[in-house]
Amino acid sequence: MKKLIPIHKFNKIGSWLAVVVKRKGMYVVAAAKEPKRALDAANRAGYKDAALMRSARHYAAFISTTATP
Amino acid sequence: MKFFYRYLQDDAIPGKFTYMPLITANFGEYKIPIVCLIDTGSPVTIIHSPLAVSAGIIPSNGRKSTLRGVGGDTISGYYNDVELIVCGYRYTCQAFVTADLQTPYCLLGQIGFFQHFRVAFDLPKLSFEVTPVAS
Repeated sequence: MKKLIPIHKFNKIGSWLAVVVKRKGMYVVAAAKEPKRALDAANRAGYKDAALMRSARHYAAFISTTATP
Repeated sequence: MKFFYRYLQDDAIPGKFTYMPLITANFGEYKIPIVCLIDTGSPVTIIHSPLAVSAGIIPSNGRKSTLRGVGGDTISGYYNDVELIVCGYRYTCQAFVTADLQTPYCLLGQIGFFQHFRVAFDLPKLSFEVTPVAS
């Protein structure tokens, strides 16, 4: 089995991630430039329940933090 | 069906972590699994266009429109009829397909999700329940 990367440690933007849920956390099992490739890689690695999402710098804070109060 | 909030670490928010109501839905002709955020603040269901293309949907076949977010930025995209499978319940809805979505997840909003499901959030117990509305 491939090593799982916690989602918050994957901060490189511009990739499509295949993620799985384990113990209420999310883990990246495959990353690719195209969503279909990421899903295929995850399925090949044995993760049939992987789902797709986009990579981002932040996974919980979406509102721009550039504005100063 | 009962789901659990997902634990997410993020240095940008107070407390450095949060819990989010994320579920997996299958959509499109190829029924690809996607991670979706249940977003009560979103007026419509919003889907990343590369995912829509992978699912066999041609975004430009839909009706062109724009949406404005909380930051005031406007994003453009197309309203398409998409097939969604959530909690084993299959239905067709209008979703906004865009390449400009800034969130890493697709959004399940009022039109296209809350029309079809009753959702009971229970953050103290770290769970939420999604029940299809009988129609």
